[in-house]
Amino acid sequence: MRQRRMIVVALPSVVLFLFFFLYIFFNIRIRSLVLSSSSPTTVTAHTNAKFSILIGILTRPDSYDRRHFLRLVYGIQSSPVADIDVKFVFCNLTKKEQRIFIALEILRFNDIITLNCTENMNNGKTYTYFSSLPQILPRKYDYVMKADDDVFIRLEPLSLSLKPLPRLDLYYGFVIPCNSMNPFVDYMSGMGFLLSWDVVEWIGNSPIPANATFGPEDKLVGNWLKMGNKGKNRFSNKPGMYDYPGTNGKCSHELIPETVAVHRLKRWDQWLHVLEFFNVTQQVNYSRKFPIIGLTDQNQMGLEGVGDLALHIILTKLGPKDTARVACVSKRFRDSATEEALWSLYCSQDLNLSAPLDADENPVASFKEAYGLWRVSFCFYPWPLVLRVKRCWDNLKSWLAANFPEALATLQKGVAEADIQKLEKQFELKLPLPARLLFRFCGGQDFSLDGDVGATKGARSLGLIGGYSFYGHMVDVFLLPFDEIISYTEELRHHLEFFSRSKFIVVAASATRIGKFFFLDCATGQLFVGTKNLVTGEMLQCVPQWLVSSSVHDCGSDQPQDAMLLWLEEHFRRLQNGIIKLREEGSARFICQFPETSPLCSTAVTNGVQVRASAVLVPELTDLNASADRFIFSYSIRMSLLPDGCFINGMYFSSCQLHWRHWIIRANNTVVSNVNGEAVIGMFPLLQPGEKEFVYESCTPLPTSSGSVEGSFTFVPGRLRDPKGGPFEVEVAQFPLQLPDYIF
Amino acid sequence: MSITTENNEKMITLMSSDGEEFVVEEAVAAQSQTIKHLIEDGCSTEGSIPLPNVTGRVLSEVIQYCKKHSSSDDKEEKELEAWDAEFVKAADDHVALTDLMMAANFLDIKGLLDLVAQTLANMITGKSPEEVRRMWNIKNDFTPEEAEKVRKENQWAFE
Repeated sequence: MRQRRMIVVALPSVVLFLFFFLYIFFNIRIRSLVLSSSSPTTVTAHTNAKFSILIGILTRPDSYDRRHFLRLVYGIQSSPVADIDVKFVFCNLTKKEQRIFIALEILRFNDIITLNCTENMNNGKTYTYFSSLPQILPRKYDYVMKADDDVFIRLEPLSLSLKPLPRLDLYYGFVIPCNSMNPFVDYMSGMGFLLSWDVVEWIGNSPIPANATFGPEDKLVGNWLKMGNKGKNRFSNKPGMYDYPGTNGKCSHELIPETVAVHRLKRWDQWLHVLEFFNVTQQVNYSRKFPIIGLTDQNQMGLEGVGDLALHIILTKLGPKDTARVACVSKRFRDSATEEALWSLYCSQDLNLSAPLDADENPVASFKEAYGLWRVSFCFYPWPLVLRVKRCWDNLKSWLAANFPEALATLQKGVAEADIQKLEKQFELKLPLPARLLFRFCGGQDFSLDGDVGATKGARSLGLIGGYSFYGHMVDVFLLPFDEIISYTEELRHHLEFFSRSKFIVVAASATRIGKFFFLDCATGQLFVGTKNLVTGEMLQCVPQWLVSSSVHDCGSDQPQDAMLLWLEEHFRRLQNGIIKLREEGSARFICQFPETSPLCSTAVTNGVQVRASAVLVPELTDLNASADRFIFSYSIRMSLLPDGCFINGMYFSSCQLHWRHWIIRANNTVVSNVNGEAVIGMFPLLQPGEKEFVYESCTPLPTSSGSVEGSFTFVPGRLRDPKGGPFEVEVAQFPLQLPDYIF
Repeated sequence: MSITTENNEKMITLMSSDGEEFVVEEAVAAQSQTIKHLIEDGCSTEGSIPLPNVTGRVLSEVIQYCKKHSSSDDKEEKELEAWDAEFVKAADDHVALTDLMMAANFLDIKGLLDLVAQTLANMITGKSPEEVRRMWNIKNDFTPEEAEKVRKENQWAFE
């Protein structure tokens, strides 16, 4: 029954005979026109060969163009050692026009085998092909190959590789998986595999393949042979057979001279590349016999044909990295990709550079060179992270330049990679990448220029992070210079037991005599601040944990973010948006951590008296072990008289004076303190229109991590000694006390 | 030759390098700064505007783009973006895109120029110099020494 299903498109032998003559005639003519070589051009030309191969290219009836092209490709190849026939194989014709067109092809080329099957993947086409060949072929071959129509097979290398191999029980191809060199491991790829004739006959006769025809076809062939214990001679031709570069991972590699087959040629440019690489058309002399008209024109088309301006526009959209890469394409591309205008733009966009400077701020010859040097300097870091860290510092520095230049002067140059490595080695830790980069750009603050020894005196107000002060508790946090990071860390490791076992380094501290220390946990990237119980290792986390990347050491990730970077970025955001401000105290200025804007800062105006109020957590006094007063908050009250003065019952007064305070302090929603008392911190501020705010700070403990303060002040118009009217209440709107997500 | 349509829209005729004529609304054609200046200079009142650098095939694509972009307002930005994406996809093969690029450049249509430049840039992004040469049929005209020098200068981009 099986044999009956196979149909050969048989042609009347008379017609064949007639066309055979025409065919030969035609071929000779074409050969004499096109080729200077005398090599045979027909695939069926029989030489004095030792063995024979049939290559069946499985394709579809409608692929007329592909067949035309493949006939050209194989028609000009031959082998001195083998007799090679190339035929196209497909299933039953289904369309009316196919019967005519394909009949024409058969008449003209006689290189088509149609099988009794339907075109469908995994539906037994390969089985039908092999099993029916012994019946439909007029002759035997030593080998039969099955190939795809997107593969380029080089007939001579193929036959030379087969010459020394057995003629019996052979299974030859490209073994799957791609990285395996063992031909017995699984099966040969469908790009093209070859069986010796005895195996082909076995497929037609054995029940093993007949009962397993459905599934991935090429894999099935491997299964059949395994089950039937066939194909004991196997040969996997690697690296001679492969997928076209870049099309299929490990199955692909660059074109090589010893190629037998290249697979996955889906596009014309890929075919072109392959044909050019193997010099398939070198026999044709373009210039004399066949001037190929328009060839040079064709070359000028495409990207080389666009004008310089247009090319410039394309490059600006490419970005720096790809622009640098295309500089290696050709001279014209190099010239366009080296334009200073382009690189000045990239330097300004990426690096905020207005002059060509390298990472150490040394001038260099061009913007392009500067950009390249920056990339080289930071080649061990993800570039987007480099840009982000640089932006962070640039932003901070430009804010300082405009608002706080005396602090800008204390910022140190970046730390050399070698010094960072020294620290890592000394403390046996690995710095998170963002922190490392932050140090590469700036090595903290140094106050020694002021003539002070160390950072403990004089410069108390120049801390980049800033602080607060209440009842003589003065805090001003600065970024430690790199050498002090090392010496502080060493000292703390020496004194604190928990610290010596950790991967912490000290990165910031108060410049005053108050012990407020910030620690970077190099293992996790989180930042901590010590509490009152620092000696026992009690600390508060300073940045929301969910923002910190899980892998802060991973160069593969584009944007790892550690707490140190997030902390500085958030600090800058607050400065930039006026959430915190500089505060003047006498002749000195410092960055004041009390919030200045809603919702953390409340504002109320009563009878022309404005009171603004906000609070900060004081981590260094906080005691998480305490039963009642766990958290300490400092608050800042700022009161002023509006320009119109004090307005009571239709009367204006040019001054008023505070007499009494009334506070209601809540922990969550429970009142924990209700205070009535004279004065504020012992003072009775006298307010006059247009004067600077009267500011004072105080503090309160709280058993919970959140709460609020509200209340009122009692004022008298005029002065306490000389009241111009009865006392009146001035509201202090509620302001929050809360453990913040960021602690500074 | 200028014609006025029913809704009082002034029409002008553009002629491609291969002699094909296209009658379009002036507002559509004026998206090309080059044509706009020609109209303003009074060049369009008689006969058709010859565009010697643009073939009919490319010009018809350009007009298609200009028509779409003159009839859409800002509200339809999303839809227009999708349309643009389809438009360049249709002109997918490299040569057609570079033809379009040259036409957009000559006709000075900024939106189209940006669109096509971005598409071409996307095709180049991530490719090796060898792949770019192959893709665009560009000859490597460096001497081995020059090739080594330029590669060295740009080595950072390959790491």
